[in-house]
Amino acid sequence: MNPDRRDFLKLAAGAAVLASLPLQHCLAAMTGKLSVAAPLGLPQVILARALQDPDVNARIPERELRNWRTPDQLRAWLARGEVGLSATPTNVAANLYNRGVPIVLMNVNIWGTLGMLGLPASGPLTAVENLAGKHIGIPWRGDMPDLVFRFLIRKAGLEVDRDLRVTYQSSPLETVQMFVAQRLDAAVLPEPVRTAARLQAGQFGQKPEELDLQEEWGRLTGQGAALPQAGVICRRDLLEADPQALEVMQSAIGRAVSWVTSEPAKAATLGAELSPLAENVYQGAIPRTQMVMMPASKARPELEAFLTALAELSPDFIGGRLPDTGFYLPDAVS
Amino acid sequence: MQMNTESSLVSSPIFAYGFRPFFLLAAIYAPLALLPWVGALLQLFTLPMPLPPIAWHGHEMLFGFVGAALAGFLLTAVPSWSGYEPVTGGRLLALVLIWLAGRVLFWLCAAVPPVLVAAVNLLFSLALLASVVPAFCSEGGRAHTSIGVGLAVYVVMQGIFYLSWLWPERLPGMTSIDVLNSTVNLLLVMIALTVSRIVRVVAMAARHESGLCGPFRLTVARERLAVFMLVLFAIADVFAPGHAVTGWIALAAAAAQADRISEWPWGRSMKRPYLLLLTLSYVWMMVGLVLVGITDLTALLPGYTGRHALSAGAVGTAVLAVLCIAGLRHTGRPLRLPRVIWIALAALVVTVILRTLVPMLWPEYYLLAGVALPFVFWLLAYLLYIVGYNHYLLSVRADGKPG
Repeated sequence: MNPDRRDFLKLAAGAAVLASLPLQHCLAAMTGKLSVAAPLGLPQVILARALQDPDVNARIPERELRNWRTPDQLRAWLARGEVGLSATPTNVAANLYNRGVPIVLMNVNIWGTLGMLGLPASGPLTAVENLAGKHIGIPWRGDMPDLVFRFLIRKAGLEVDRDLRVTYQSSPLETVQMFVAQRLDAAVLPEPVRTAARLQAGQFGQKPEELDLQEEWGRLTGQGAALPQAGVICRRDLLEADPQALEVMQSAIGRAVSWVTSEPAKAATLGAELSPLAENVYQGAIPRTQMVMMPASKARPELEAFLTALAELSPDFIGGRLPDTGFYLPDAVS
Repeated sequence: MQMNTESSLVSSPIFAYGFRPFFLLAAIYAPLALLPWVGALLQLFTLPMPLPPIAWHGHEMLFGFVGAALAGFLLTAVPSWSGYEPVTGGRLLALVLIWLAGRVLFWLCAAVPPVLVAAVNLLFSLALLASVVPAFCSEGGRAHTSIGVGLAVYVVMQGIFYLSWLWPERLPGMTSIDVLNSTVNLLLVMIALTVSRIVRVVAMAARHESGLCGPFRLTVARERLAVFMLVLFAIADVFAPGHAVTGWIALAAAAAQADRISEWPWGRSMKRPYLLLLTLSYVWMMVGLVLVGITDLTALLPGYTGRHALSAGAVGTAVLAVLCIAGLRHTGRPLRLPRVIWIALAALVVTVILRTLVPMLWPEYYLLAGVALPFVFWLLAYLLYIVGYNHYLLSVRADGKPG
């Protein structure tokens, strides 16, 4: 075998491997269309605004925004290369990474979306200790709202089943309906679903008690009242193919987060256009959500502390271990 | 020319008797009145309003929809019982216009002075009361004074509702929801009193039509006990809502109603629409009272449990029964319900089952199966009523008699 032939075979093998990868979708995306995904709610508003950014428009002419409803759907889209970039809860991002999906975390931008609503008739709700003897509803067992709630309950010296009753529903909508039907004393809900429930309870002339779980976390742990709950991930091959484009997106996301917090009325209008939730739901949800864009590498210490605390309750939550350095977008790009 | 138009309007069949315009308006308004409430709960649209949407909803169902049905019933039944001249033509048109003004103002209540909204709505009830009081005072009407007293209390309850809305500080410890619950209880008492007047004729007719003969009697004392227990519950629910004693009284009232209807002819006779509708209304009354009793005694269920069985169930069935039966009887037709009405009745039963049971048993589907779906069935029930009865209500009597 002469060197020329060897080089040719190497090249052929390399081409075959490349061809078998879904990379071409993403490469094509950066020169043409970029597919971005987000769950319903404020992450969707942030990414929609980022995609309207003039810099993004100039760098990536064709863009699309999709909704993902379950992490499995997102995983499939990422694995097939149908989506290059997505907003996700941080635990879903860690889980995808630990299960071998080639992604990197670009940033964390949602630092407080969890809270509780309490029926006024069930007594005051100013601290999780008030929940003793109560019936609490939570959407999805083992998800972030559940684990944050259980962490806080444990910190407060309470025990589920011994001191309080917890029932799980299969979606936030079901929890909202149970709360509105007054079949729960309190409900753990993220925004904007929490505001939707609060407004619906208001139709019945009720003013539900509100408890911010981030503040409870700060009170019970002595740490800050901000939790790195959601951010944006992208496919690793997108990063490798066009780091400058990602840099443009990262900056645009930062501007979009600032825009949502500084222009809540306009952001609410955009949210209502994008989703079935009404404008007043977003108007209530925005001031109740902590939003700050922090590049992933800077957020790493807080993210690791947060994920470690929750993984103690359920290791599966993050896919068995903390993600390694490869999970975080390198500083050079951020 | 204008006078001719007016005179042809007031002399048209629709204004020949009180039930005609008010039954039609009640049926049209029954689903319409729910739109802002269901729309708000499902986050579809919001009607601006200066009072809690649930209070708006309760008012429009009890003083709008039921108010029209009650007006149609009293303006027809009272002259029929007492032989007193009925309200027809121009006077009837005037009552209809006040009722319509009340509805328009309640829909616009965020944009007009609330006192005006309350005044016009109260004016309708007072005008209705003034229209029937002379008949109750006549020789033939005196035997039915209790119904007249019921109407007077209904007007007082409406006044208290406006007090709780406009000057809540004057009514400490009582919310507009409490007033609405008490109004439903009052309507239950009025249903029980009306049933006492007609059940013998209805039961005998049902037995006769079913080919049954032989002795049949209803015990007056048991009837009176049932009505007395309802009145006692209504009073307890005003002064001690949610209290355990009220809970026991609710259960006792349910037992007294069960005792009362146990005397009614069951079996084949129950297929007759008159009797079936009365019984259905009573079944919902018992279910509602039991649920209210359990709620008051155990606090295991939310405070509203059972209230829809009493309002949409017992009152709603009684309203549809009156709309159907009086709509046949007073238009000179045999007592055979149009076929679509059986579907309407089934739709009403489904509405109440969903509205009552979903929040208790499947609260996770509350807004969809407990609010949206019952609305669809309620809409269907009244659309079918309009389909089945609009011709009867808008045309002259089939037997050529006046009215």
